[in-house]
Amino acid sequence: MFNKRDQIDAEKTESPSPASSRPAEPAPAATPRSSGNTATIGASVHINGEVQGEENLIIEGQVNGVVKLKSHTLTIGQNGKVEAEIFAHSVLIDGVVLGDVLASERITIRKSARVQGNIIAPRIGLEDGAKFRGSIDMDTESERFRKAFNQPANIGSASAGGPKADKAASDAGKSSSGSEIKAAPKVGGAA
Amino acid sequence: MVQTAQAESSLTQNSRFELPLLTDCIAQLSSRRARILDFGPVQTRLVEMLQKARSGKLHVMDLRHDQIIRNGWPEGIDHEPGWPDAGSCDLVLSWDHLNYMDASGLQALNRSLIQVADPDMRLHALIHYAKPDMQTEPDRYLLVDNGQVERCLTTASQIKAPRHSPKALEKWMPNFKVDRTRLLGNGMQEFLLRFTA
Repeated sequence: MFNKRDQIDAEKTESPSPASSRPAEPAPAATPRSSGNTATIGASVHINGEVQGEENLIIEGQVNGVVKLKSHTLTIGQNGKVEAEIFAHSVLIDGVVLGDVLASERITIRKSARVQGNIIAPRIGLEDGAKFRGSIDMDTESERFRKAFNQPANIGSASAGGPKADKAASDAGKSSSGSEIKAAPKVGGAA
Repeated sequence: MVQTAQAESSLTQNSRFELPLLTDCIAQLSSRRARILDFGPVQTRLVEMLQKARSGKLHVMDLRHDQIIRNGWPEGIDHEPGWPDAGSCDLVLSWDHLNYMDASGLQALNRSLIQVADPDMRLHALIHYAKPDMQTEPDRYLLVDNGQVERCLTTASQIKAPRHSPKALEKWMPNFKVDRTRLLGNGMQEFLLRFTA
């Protein structure tokens, strides 16, 4: 469902979601808009692929694939929809998440959130009213959690090119703010 | 008389009540990493409880009424997100679903739980007992403070309750034995069933 491909398709949709109460984000490029130490993927932006970053990130658009913010906070806003495997220091969910979420510090699921997947973190907060289906695990000794956060050398294995290819792709795609979207020719439709 | 009136009232409005058998069961689990399968919606207090223990795993299935009514027991549930791995479940919470299952549904549930049961697994269930009727759809039950459970009515319309007896449950779920039962003030019967391989 969430494959490990490193091909990226970042595309701007025709119009913002009708459900969105926010104005359309000016997102002419795939690179997230950055403000201070926090980047934002706007409501009209749809990304297929892998998103990595060295700063906090807010997703108000749609991301399919993998999101890695191992040392920072990921916020999925009320308009955000993420169908991805997520790895982050902390995750705050207001929107929709379909996929597994691993955080080395904390996961907070707000009352407006709808989550389907397995979540693992040492601290998990859940507000009354949140919709959730899946498993909630606070065991940070599990093999999966340790692989994700204690063995960095294994983390990059999701990319077919290995660590060197990751580094090269990282250098090519990194924005001035530290966010990164690895661009590649589109090979398929949206997931 | 007073208890009957209380039971009737409880069928038409939200109410809070205690579950002594569940409290005992959770206390026993607190000494180790608890692995809980909840067929109901996600419960904030249950997550907080595991958080306090700094351990544990909670599987939330949030079964919809139509999943049970149409299928007796959802086919393919073992492929859905959150379904536990083999042998990895200590406690199952099924707080209204058994009332909506017939014999074939209970048998299918039994087969599903065999796959995930730890040898010491318990099944905690609530059965409509004192009154012949129940809501047409399962109510929602949520742990609240002080070990109480809040029952949130989903509909006012009622149907006949099957009023499963301990013998009937053991007959249709042959891998479970009734460990303890207790009639609650609201007319429901609290069941704690023990898994037998």
